[in-house]
Amino acid sequence: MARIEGIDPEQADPASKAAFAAQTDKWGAPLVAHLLYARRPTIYRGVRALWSGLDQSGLLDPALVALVNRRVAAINGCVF
Amino acid sequence: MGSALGVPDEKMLALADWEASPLFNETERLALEYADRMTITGRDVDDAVFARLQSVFDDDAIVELTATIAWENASSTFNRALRVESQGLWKPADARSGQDALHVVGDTAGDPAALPPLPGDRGEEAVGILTDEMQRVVREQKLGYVATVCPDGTPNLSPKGTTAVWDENRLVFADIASPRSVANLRANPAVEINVIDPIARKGWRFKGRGVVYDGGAMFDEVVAWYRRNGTASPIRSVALVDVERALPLISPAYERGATEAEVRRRWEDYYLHTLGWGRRGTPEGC
Repeated sequence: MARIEGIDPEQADPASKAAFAAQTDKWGAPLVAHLLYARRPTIYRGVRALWSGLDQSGLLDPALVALVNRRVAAINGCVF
Repeated sequence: MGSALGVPDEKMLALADWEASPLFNETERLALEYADRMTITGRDVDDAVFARLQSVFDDDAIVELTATIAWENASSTFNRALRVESQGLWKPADARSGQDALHVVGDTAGDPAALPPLPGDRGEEAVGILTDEMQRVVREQKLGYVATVCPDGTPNLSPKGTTAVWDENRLVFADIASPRSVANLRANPAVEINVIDPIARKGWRFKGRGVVYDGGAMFDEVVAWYRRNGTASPIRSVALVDVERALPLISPAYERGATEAEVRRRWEDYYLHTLGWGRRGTPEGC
């Protein structure tokens, strides 16, 4: 259980609601971090744009990105 | 995440000690060094490292790599601070149940509603904060330097020969002669434990919160564990430390390009020959 409760995806704005539905299709449930970001819709829009921008930039091997991301997360104590 | 992208599980699991692992190629090692230098407090990206980056990646790719690392720092610290738990979307192969729920990064391009399996939100298996490598070092060294906070705010640093791994998230030490450490923890649970391999000049810094037990089932269980493992001294209480953050401690010698074998040779020579720790009998000259 996160320290703060995420939003109810059913109560999200239309764009966020569509994102949560897509996550549910892919992974079975909305991602908890996203439900938290979505408490502040302007912030959530911003981070989604950043994620999309990084993803679509596409110069780096996705496998290398996966390694780097996991390493950084572990250093920061983010246990997946 | 890793498997869907063609990253072997062993590689993902070896990341905690990537410098010593033979699994990573030169490009990966360089990117990981860059990530470490951007992320670990007290480190920096010096000109020599940046020049090596520019010899491997073009400037556009460096910008993408830098933004990736910077954003993963933001994302993972957000998740950590708010204690966002795993959603179990990635597991090592031997723990998978035949389905891999993750999709490759990029498979949502052009779909504005869907989100890629994003940095820090990929929900890998919750394997605990203490990796196998961290646990190995603690078990081998059998000595932790435990820092607690005194009532006046000053630090209290005390070596504990009973420092051990309790489980994947907790360290433990026993109060055999540690009245100050225990009293501090009772008043303020903030604690840091450093465990160092003095030959490899590497180790780990564990920050977390400690809970003291001087009776009850937990106390009995921990004391019984110490007895089974050879601790005969009277134990007045035990402290279980819930590790919230684990960071590597690495000698600057590695940043100057030394290999672990070179560092080991240097310090083995120092302890064995300069100090004569390997000799039996009386010290030389006596």
